[in-house]
Amino acid sequence: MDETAEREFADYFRARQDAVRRMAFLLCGDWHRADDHAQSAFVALHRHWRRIRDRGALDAWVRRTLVSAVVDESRRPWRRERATDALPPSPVSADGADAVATRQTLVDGLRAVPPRQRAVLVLRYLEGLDVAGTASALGCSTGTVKSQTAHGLATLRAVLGDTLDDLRPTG
Amino acid sequence: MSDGIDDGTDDGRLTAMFRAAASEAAAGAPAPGFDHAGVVAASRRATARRRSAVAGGVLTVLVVAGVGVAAAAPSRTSTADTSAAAGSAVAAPEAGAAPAPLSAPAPALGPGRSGPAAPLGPADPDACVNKQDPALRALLNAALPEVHDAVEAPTTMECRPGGGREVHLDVADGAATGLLSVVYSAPGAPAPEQGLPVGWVRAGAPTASGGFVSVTTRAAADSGAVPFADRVDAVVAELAPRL
Repeated sequence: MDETAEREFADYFRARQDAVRRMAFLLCGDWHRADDHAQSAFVALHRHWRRIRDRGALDAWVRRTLVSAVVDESRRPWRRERATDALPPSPVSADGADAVATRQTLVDGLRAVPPRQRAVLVLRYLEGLDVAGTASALGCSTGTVKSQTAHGLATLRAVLGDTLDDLRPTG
Repeated sequence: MSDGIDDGTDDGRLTAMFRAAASEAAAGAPAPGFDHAGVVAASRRATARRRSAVAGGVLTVLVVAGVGVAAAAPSRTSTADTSAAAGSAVAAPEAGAAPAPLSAPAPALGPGRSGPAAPLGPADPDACVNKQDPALRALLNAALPEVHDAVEAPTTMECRPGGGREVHLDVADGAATGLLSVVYSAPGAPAPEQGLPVGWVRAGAPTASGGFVSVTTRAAADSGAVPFADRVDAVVAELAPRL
């Protein structure tokens, strides 16, 4: 890459490193793996930088790469996540006032959600993508995103119980 | 962002909660395990490895093509095809070229062209599978010329040894756009997963080397159709004897 492109990449890296790490963490639940995935996404981005003409699409490109990496990893035999009939015990929150504990509970609860459903939830509620944007990032249909969102939220509710009021249907 | 998940959950509150959780998790996170310099260095190493792979892949294809041409020469009177095959070597990409659609020559395919070449077979079983294998790309370009200029799709950098070869491309087939993946599994490697998400189209067949090749195409979210959905069988039929 020429100097200008390197500078552009450096600016993008500085601006987005923390956000990409956070997203990777919510996707996999482990900071070390999150760093591996985030670094891989940035390395891939650097390699393809010249050919990504639409600079407005950089975030979407990184999201797609990151989600693919995390979901692919979860399918590897030695890292494969297995469904279980026994849900983790619901955390007990005596007064619901401990926001930090509650939010940590959300992170823990996400680990019980299957990887692809977890990816849908993270893209929709952390990254703020709409259904179409999430479908594009995951390479699936909007119908799949809707069903995975519903299933993912249902799993979270089952794991967390009433710990997180925000997960309860309001209707 | 309320756009169809009609389960009564408030999207706005969920978004606020996820973002708060991520921020607070980040507040207690360890320092980043990578920096800009490390990313650039890793990118350059990967690019250097790829250049070596491109050079090796082109050499492999040329050797395979040469073996095929030599095998066919005694039984053929026309030299047109062999001349074309030899001439195509000129179109080989420079080893130092940046990752881009490859124009490497592929062994001639189909009846009426040069004789049957030895199958390409597995890559180095001890090396990581090249997710954009130049030799396989060359064969794909010959089997499906419409993807000759297609851009490589983003791939993960996981290292999975075993001698396989892969190509993943962002493709356009008229108005239909999407991802086309070709995966060659070396003999003895696990068969591809049988399950296929709705909307994906896949064909596969055993290859001449005893491996397995599968071609999968899926539509982009904003594409109304699956690109090359009606071509995957033909592409597999072309590739299987060559792999």
